[in-house]
Amino acid sequence: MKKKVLQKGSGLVEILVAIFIFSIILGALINASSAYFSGVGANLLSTKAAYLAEEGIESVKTIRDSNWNNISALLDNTNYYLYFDTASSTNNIWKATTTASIIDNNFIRTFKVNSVYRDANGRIISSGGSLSTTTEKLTVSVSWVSNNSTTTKSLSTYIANIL
Amino acid sequence: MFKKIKQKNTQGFTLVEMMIYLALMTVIAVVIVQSIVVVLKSNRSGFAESNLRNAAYSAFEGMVREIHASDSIIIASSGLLQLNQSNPTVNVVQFSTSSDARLNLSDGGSTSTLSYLGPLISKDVVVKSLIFTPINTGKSQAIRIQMNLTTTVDGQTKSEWFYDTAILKGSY
Repeated sequence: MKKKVLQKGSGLVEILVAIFIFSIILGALINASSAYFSGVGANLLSTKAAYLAEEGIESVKTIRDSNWNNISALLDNTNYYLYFDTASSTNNIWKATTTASIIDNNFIRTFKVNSVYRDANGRIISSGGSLSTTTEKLTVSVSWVSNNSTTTKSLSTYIANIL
Repeated sequence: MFKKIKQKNTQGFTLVEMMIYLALMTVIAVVIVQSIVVVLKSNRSGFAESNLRNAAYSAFEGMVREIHASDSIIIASSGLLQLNQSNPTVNVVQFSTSSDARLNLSDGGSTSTLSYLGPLISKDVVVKSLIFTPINTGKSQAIRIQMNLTTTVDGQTKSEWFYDTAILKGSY
């Protein structure tokens, strides 16, 4: 085949095939680079989401600091939203609500608490043991839409009645 | 490729072949140029977004670390945050936005003897809005931060809001 090409020169069909292969490779390269750059953009949203999640953890802790009953009164494994109450005459404070809210038309932040069980030595265990009334497992989830798909990130920690 | 073309010249193309070949090349060239324009555009917006991300990271890490290390709030308002810390040499830490929309860090022994340490974020990014809201739970204090960052890369402006809340661990 190669010899034939060298002897006779390449025909139109061969040039067409070469151009076709070349453009496929070029298309793949361009696709890859544009995917890379849109990935950079997705990174910005995930940074924003990370701080929203961090804020979620800290704000539930401020709710805990106001009164542990605020936390123990929450239903287990139920999604709550956070809202910043500036209407209160004395203080600005974070509050838990079941009313859904969307942050900046994209981000949905929820948190839930789960019961914690401890064994006879006070260690936290996943099953059995006795219910701890002074500890809850807190999970904050932030979900957002990027490139037509929804991403959800969660942070978990234990919060305790320390006051 | 070059060699091949030379070889072809000895054989010759028909006019029709040449015309088809040129037409194909033109179409492909147009597609390539368009794709390059798209890539350059997304490169620019990617650059802007990465600027914003780095600025948000620097600003929040700096502020949250100092808030966590603080005992009480002196002032928390729009564009100004002053915190009390029980540190042997530095008692007051201040975050403020300047008239040129930079975020500046200062500290000192008291609010009247603050010395300017420097900006927290690079000059490519301006702080359009920075709101500190004090939270008092009765047993602890916290700061809510709302920050709008804006950057312009080659005439393309991008801006984003960032939010965080941090408890003053020394306030318990």
